Amino acid sequence: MPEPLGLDHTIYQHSPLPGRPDWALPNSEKIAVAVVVYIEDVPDGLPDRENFDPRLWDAFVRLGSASRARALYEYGNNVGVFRILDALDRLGVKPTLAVNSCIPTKRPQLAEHLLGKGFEVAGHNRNAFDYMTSRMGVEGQKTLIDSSLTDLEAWTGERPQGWFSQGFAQSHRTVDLLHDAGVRYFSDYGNDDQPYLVRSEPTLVSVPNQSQWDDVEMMGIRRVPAWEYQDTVIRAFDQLAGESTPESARVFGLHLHPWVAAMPHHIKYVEAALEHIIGTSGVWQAPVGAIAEQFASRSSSPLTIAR
Amino acid sequence: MVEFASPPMIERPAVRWPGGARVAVWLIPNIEYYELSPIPNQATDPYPRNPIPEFLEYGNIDYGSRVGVYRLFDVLDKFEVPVTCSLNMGVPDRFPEIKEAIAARDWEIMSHGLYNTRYHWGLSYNEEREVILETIASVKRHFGQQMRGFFPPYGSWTENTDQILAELGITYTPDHGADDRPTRTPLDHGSLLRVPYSFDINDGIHFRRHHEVDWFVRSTIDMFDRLYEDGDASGTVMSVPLHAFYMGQPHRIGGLEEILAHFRSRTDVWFATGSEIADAYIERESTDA
Repeated sequence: MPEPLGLDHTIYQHSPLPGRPDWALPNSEKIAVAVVVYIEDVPDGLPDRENFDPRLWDAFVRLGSASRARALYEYGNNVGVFRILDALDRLGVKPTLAVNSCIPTKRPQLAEHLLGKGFEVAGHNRNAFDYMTSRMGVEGQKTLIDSSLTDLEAWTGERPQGWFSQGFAQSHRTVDLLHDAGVRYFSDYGNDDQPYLVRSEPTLVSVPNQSQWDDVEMMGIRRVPAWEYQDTVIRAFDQLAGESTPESARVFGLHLHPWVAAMPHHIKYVEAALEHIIGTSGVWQAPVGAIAEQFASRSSSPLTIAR
Repeated sequence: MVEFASPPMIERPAVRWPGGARVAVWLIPNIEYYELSPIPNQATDPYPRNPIPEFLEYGNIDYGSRVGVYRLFDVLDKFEVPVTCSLNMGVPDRFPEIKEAIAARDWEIMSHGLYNTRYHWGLSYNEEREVILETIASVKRHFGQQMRGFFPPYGSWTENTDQILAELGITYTPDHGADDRPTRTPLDHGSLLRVPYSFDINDGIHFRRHHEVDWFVRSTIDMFDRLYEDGDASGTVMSVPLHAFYMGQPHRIGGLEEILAHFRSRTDVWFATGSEIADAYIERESTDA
């Protein structure tokens, strides 16, 4: 019998969840919960159609006008985001903000409201049309990553440790470029219930981006009703919490885009799901960066992957 | 492309299942591998959203191989039901732990081609024949089974698939949702049996669209209940196609338990593999002849 082939790429290694090395949380909690709020905006004009999600093209700009896209982000940034921040504040949630680096200059008032609250800020490309795909040259990708991180650092005073690729879009080189740029975790793949190492020296952790219950994917694109979104989030959370053991914890991410999750007809379902999660015992609620760091620091079997 | 040449059902002899069952339940977990970088310019682009690598879709599918498949194993074990695995043969080549878990359960292997990103559309007769021969050899090599059912990857039946399958002595292929009962299609040389395989109750279709698990459970139970009722006159097949990366998600796996518990709550239900269903139907054909 020949050797197993493994994956058809070397971007990360295959790792079945059963039989993994232990992952215990700081106080033996069952599940690490991260809430990610996306702070995004679009530039003037239309996205590069070759480098953009065709499902969003249909939803936003099919009519040849970027007006709808701008209106959605206007709603998210001027109205919706405050609904979400209120709910998080009420529940004592420490979110991670995944921020397009255009925000501090494009929306200085919003940026001011977000500073000084102790929120983790993570890199999230330059704007919501800025997809990093394999159609972009390597130099362009390096510039994208570097300018995103530098502009956020100029705003907050700290270099972001985390990265959320706009539109889940990566090239074959993205992971190595993020590693080279000093990023310590990224959250782009919906392929796991635990963080895992993808590079070492220094460690780079993939924290799952559980896109099956992403608000844009579910309510924005699939148009699943908001009450089914709530049911989905609660079912997923309860299942994962129920499967965890003291030696093998799970991670749960709730990723919220103000232009979808904070719509007045959506928000109460989002709030109800969050209340359920935060009201469950055995939850370690923390920013994604803290979860990634805790994971990397206790990891007993660092991976090395040929570059 | 694919010929369906069955007479109207009211003209057919009644189907009778073993033990007088009204409905045969056919459970078909699809365990698939999508290549991150498939052969370019095929008839369908598996990743239409973005250029390769497209990690939104790939990540969802990879979830099945890392996590989701084990939830399917757990639930199907719990109900102790016969299972037919629709298997991309790249999976046992790549993931020995999944291969061993399938082999330990003695599931029937219905080959689902090599990879779900290698379509049969566009293959010549001989090319497609070579691929199918390769999957027959792979099922034998990995599982020691003589492959009896074949389901082209991604449902990519060509105008030649049925004839090739018949020539190679394959017993059955899924019917793509054409009937509630097995049907036989005459071909230029021989014939091929189709076993009902729903594309309407199919997690791989629903969960890409507007529906979530409650809808899926209710619709599946509604389908079962009607097939159960109609199975009194002539036995029916309730197929439940599943995917490790969809039904194996944490918010959906409970739905599979609800579905199986409903099936179990009825008498006169025959849980069977694809081959068992095909053989029972073939036996009935020979009696009627």
